[in-house]
Amino acid sequence: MECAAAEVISRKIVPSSFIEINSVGKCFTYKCSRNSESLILKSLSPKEALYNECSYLDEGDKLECENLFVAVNKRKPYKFDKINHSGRHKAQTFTTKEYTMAKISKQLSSIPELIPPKELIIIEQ
Amino acid sequence: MNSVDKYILDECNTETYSSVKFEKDYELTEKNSFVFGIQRSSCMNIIQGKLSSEISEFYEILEEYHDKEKLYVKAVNNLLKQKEYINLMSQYASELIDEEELNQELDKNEHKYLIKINDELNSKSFKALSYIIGQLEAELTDDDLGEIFSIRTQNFDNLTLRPSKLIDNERSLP
Repeated sequence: MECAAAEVISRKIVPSSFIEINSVGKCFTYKCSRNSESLILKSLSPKEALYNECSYLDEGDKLECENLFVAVNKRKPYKFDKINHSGRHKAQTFTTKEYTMAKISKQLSSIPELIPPKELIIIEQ
Repeated sequence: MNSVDKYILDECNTETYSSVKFEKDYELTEKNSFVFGIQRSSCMNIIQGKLSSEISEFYEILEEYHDKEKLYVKAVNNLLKQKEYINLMSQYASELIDEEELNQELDKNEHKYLIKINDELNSKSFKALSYIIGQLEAELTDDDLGEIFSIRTQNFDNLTLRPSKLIDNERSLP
């Protein structure tokens, strides 16, 4: 998914690297693991994907998965808050206010794969 | 059959620089044909010919090693950048540096931290990459590949083969 603002919740969030993607720009990336989700709070304006042609773009669209890869087009690193997320475990969370791209790295194990599979079409620049 | 042309080097040549004017054009008209020059003390030999099939196969093997070497060097450089970035973030998280110092450091020494993900994955580099991934102990995702090898990741299904030890499930929702 791609958006202008997102809420990311996961039991474990770690900063990963500082990368430059041609179609997006310079981003800080984060790797979320142990049950992760991201929710679009604000859509892109104009509502056009920059990274993947098949990205979800609408407000309210949500990704839930085991491992999540998040890239945020902002130079300031986020500090994570701790919240109570489930009955047993706490979770870390942060809310972005800039271009955010989130991609499932590993889906929840109990969910069967999509047939036909969802395509990932990287936008060339 | 190889041909050898000898040229006398200009008087201004040094140990690291030589200048020579060719008297004819050298054309490569067949597959596996080559032209290269070897400097001897006061002259340069230009050798033109065609690789035999055995030599040509050997040359392809050398090319494969060269491709792998480029990927190894790229991976080491990117992992070092990642390490430096994480060190910097750790300092910021521990409040050893503030936000302004962090931004100054990123502006001033961007080359130490920034990984450019802009290389394309063709069948040749895919072959070298598959070999390297097969030797690694860790399991990698598409994003790991992008960060380590600077490769713009695609749906690997398009390339028919799938590198072993790549975490499956990359066909999940974006």
